[in-house]
Amino acid sequence: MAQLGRRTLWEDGILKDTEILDLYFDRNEQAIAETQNKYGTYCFSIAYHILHDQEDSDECVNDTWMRAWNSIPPSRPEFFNIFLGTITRNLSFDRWKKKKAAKRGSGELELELDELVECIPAAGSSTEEAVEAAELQRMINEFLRTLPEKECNVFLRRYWYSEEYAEIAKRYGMNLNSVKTSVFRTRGKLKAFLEKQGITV
Amino acid sequence: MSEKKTEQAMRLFEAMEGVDPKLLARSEKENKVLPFQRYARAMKTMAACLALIVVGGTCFVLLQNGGGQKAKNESAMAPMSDSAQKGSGISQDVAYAEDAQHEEAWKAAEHEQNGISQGATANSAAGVEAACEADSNSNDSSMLEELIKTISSDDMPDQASGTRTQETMGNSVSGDKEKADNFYKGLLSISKIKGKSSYALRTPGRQNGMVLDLDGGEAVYVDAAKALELLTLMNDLELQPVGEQRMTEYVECGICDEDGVIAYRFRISGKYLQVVGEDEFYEILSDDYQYDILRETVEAALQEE
Repeated sequence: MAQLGRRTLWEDGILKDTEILDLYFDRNEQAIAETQNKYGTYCFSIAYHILHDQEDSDECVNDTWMRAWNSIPPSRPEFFNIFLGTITRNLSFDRWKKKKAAKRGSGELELELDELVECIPAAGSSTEEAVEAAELQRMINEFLRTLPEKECNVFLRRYWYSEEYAEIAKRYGMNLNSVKTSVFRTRGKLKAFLEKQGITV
Repeated sequence: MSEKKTEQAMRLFEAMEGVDPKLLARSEKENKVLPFQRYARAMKTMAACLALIVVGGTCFVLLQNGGGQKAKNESAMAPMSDSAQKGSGISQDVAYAEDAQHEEAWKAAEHEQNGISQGATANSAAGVEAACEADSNSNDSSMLEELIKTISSDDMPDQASGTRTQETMGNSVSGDKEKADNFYKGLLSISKIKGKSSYALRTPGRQNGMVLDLDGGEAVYVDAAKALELLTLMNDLELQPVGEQRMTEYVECGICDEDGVIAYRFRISGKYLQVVGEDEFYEILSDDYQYDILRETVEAALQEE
């Protein structure tokens, strides 16, 4: 195995997450190259699923490395890939909103938002104002934990990773209609859950 | 979609940002179950074929004993029977035994594997024996006919029956499955009716409406969204015709017209589906997860009413 200073490369040339994070903590700019090497495709995929534009997706991914560099340290994420994916997702969604405001662009996200409308609790289910974002996040996590693993996974692939149904079916070896049905049912359950909690979005 | 709804949906989408990373990490595992399921299905098919061969061999032995007795009694055919048996007759017996026993043995194998009920299991064993006995009787006359054909023509009946046997044991279900598929593609979604009319999705030329009726109780309907879901699930089901099944507990559904007159009824019990009236039985081969969704959806729809 080759040596990189006091680091150890795996035989396939990709560092472990802990080693990449150590580079960030050492403020070694090699950290970004290693992150790009390991998670470039992963982050690009998340961005592209939202934006459906190569150029915009590349920009979001590059911005992701910058954000990661600025936030590590002090944070040392346990799930580095999810940490990066979250940044990419947020950046991509912000860019998508700007493009939508300018009436540009399209993609799967429009469809997903149409689907998510079904999860919105019925009007008048609560007299409270719409809940804070943090509370809504907490509710969603609570809801996801009530789901069977497979159902939860499919839901997340659809609405977190913005994957298409065919991709989800291929990932899990499921029938396309089964994926659609699963997501459909989960949306219904989410709506019922939010209504039961008496919250509005 | 209204502006407000769009904003709310976007809020939900943004709120997903805070999903527990452990749940996200868990979702990243790929799980291509299908090849394994195919393997399991292939193993099941192999086990069924082995059972068929065992049963076929048993029946062959019984037929040989019975056939030998009949050949001795037929004095006119006596000179020919020995040579015929030694020649094409032997393979003929196997072909007819396997061909005629295919459905009974298949049912017996399925009953053994699925264990629908002890009574059914006991019946299957008795059924196989009865089938062997019945077929030995029917085969005697058909054997006689074939022997006559053998004498009167140069054809090789064992080849023909062998081919037919292969076809029978191979894809004989494909035609019936297609019929089942077409039937279920005709299922329509349903409307919510409780003393007032409601919307319904219609397919031109077809009757609309679906009744969910548990064990002959009061008929109920579910809304169109639920109907679409059911329809998708039903169209997805992979069905294989099987022999008659005993269904002690089942959910019964039907297609009815606008006046509520039921045209088709079908029952689902465990992994089996029966078209009532036409008495066609199918095994649902879809993966467990998909079938669970169907079962839960039907039960949930009933509970809603």
